[in-house]
Amino acid sequence: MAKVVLTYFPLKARLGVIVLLLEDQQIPYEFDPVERAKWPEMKQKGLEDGTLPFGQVPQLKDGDLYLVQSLAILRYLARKHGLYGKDTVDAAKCDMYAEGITDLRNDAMKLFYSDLPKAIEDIKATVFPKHGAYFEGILKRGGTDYLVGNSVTFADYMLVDLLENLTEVAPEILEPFPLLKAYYYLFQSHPILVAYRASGRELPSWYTWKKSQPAS
Amino acid sequence: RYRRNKMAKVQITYFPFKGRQAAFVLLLEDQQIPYDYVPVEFANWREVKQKGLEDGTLPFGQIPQLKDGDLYLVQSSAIVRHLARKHGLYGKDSVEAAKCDMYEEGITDMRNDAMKLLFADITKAPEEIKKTVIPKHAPYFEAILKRGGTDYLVGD
Repeated sequence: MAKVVLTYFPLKARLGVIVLLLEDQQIPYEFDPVERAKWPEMKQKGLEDGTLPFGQVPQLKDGDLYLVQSLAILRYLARKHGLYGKDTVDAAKCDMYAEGITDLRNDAMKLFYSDLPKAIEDIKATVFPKHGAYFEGILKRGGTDYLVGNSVTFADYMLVDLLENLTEVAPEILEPFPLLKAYYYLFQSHPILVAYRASGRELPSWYTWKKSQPAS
Repeated sequence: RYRRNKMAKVQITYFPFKGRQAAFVLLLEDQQIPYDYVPVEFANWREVKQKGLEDGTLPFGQIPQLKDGDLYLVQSSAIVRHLARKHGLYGKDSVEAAKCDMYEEGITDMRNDAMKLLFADITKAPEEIKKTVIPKHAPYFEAILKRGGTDYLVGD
């Protein structure tokens, strides 16, 4: 199979979940980083020729197909590589949990880029206690190491990626949720992922990048 | 039509307004797929929510909910996708399915921008939506339709 090409800024951010899937599944890919100085021109060209229909990255190129919107990219790869559940019922559950994960992400990220200290307080005090309980319930009823069925789906990659971002800024949020905590640390202990993180190839999170910037 | 009538009807549970059920009700009506509708009165909602959280039929404590046989599904986009998959409305192949997903995300972005304004100040929202949301997002869909050249967002 020809390698897919991913285009994005050199940050995990909206790319993280896609790369997590590709790395964990050992699917080869190319990464074409966007230089910030060149972005306005790239955006304009992409809008004009239709390869960036919403003027945004990440973008995936697979042969003649140019795809944007991180979740559309994720679903495309999930379909292609058998990570969308074993049947239509499981596929529906993947979609349902994907939306719940997106709701958590939206609530958590609301102030993230504008008032980070307040965002972290909100995540600890209200956002994560509310949403964490939903996923604890889902894992309890499911009774496996995965959100849906007995094997990994794209919904797992979404949740693990998000938990990684949230525990980076607020490490203790998983403590009240033993199943969720066990689920997360089991996933992160995949030998392939451990090797990936040790390889130095991993992109920085926005939080890590932000901390490295001069104080404004 | 004979085959459709043999399928058990899906059942929708939601408040008595369009809200988050509108998209999939539009699908069901336009495709003439029979369904049952169970309205939830606001006075009963807290009890319905509590029970749903406990028994797992409302995993996020929210409606709309779709019941399809033994499957209890929440999250309006997940419901739309399930019905799309079931009734051949997800594009003709995986490339078209990807385009459906891509445009769905763009539509959701537009919806979120509009809803943010509606919840902030319902009287000012129409003007704000006209001034900001439409000029930003509508050109994307104008161009998508222009490049596609059909009466539909994806394929024919």
